[in-house]
Amino acid sequence: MASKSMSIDVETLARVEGEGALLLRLKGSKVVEVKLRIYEPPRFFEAFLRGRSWNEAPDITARICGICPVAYQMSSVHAMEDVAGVKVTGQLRELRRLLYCGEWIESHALHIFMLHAPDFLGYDDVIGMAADHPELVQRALAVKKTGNDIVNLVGGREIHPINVRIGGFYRTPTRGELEPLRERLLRARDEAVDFVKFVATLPMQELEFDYEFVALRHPGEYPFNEGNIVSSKGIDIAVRDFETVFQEQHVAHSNALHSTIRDRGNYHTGPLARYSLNFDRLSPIAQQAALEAGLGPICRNPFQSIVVRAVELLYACDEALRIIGQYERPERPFVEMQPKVGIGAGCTEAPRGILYHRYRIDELGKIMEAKIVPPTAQNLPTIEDDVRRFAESHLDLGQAEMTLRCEQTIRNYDPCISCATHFLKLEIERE
Amino acid sequence: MLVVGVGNDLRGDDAIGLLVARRVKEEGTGARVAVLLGDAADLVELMRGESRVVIVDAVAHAGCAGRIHRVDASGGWEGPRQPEGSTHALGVAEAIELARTLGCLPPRVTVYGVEGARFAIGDEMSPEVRGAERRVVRLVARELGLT
Repeated sequence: MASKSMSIDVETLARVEGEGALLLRLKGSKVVEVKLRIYEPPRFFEAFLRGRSWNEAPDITARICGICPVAYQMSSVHAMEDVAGVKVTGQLRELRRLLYCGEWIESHALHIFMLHAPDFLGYDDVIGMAADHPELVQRALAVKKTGNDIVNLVGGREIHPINVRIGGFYRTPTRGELEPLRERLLRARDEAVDFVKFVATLPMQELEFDYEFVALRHPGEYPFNEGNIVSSKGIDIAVRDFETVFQEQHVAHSNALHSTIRDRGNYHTGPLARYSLNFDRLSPIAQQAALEAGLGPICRNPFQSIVVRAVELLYACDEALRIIGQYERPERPFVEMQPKVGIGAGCTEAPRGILYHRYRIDELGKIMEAKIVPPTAQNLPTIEDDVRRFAESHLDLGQAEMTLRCEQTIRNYDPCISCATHFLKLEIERE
Repeated sequence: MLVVGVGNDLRGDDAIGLLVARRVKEEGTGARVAVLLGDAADLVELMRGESRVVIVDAVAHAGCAGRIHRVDASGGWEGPRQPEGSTHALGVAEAIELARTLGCLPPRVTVYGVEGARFAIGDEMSPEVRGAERRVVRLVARELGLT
């Protein structure tokens, strides 16, 4: 029996921060095995947090992911505020949304242009794409930098913001400090309108899957920090009921836990889910751009996630402008609160999907137990399913093309493989 | 002059770039110092307009933890790069090549890579890599003409 296999190895002098791997085994016209193996740090952090003060959770969890530290901080502060029974409102809440806008702008601009668009245009990577489209890449980097600057100003330090605390911030910016961002955001918003048009022209795989979408839904906002957890098949629960509906399971081939809906199975979280469950909450400019790009209010094609990310990038610029436009510096940078014995949960919308935290603390605020469910772990079974379904319907593809398309299928989810890992090893075996 | 330390201080030897950058800053060399804890794509913007850049990062183990590699990347990155298949971020080599392609790579760029042995989350740094910190700081200072 002939067997072809291909593997890509990490070489010396490249950064090593862990590894993800996909194994796809084909036999005749059947996909017999799909295994996405990843090594995931939240488990370590759950243990690392035990015995620490509740005040440390935002800073410690921010280090789980270099791309989305704000998400980890936000889920942790909301969970702690849930324990304390305090709700942060007004301008402090708005500043949190602004910080989240910064992270979405950074993360989406990075993923759309540096990682995903090259797949669609047939380049090995962004470097090849930059040779032919230098202006486009420069523009994307400028927009990304606008996101970095928001995170820097509101979060206190670029990457791993340190200005966030339970109850708010250590220091809030003045109106004058936010003002210079307005001009840059206006430009970024114009660019984002063009970006949506551009990604809508990319050659698209026509594939739709009947996902169960899961996202936050808020009565009046496109979701960042707050809302119920809802699904396209009827789930509508408070954040603190997350674990009654969703469960994590060990699977033999990965040390990441796989999440599923109890008694039902896989689900899909991230931009596609957020968009499809919250189209009516997007601002008019984002809705219009989406419709002009040919998206309906629901999008089930995972390859079109690149278009949805661009729409969300536009929304984040628009929302940041709204927040800056109405900003009044709050009298106090944070709401004072005391720890009490109890359990609290928080769930926010990281760029790649819902991020759930739960903590149990004692009367002094010592963390007795921590649970962190990152979006990539929730999507893993669905990513494997997508690869399986894609491969089954494209068995005629050669090895190189199949490898590329499987990578693209995985990249649709912008997976945070070990949250700091830059490598995906892909192995396809044919029997 | 810009010194950039790249790494993650919760992943054992991956912290070396950050330790060196912080030390260079503490010593008040006058060089602008930055750390990158996440995505190296930000290097492109960080380096823009600089004349002289030194980047310090941990590199994969190739037989000798603590061994220091020096790569002159002034004309771009000629060594191995990440293979296709990166899902989530760019590496240092890719960021240098991206800057070169876009015509904004500073005229002088040097990368110091320190071979690490322990990269798992929660690992302690290996003594060999910790021991390399001062040597790298001296090398960086010399590189910048500060000693």
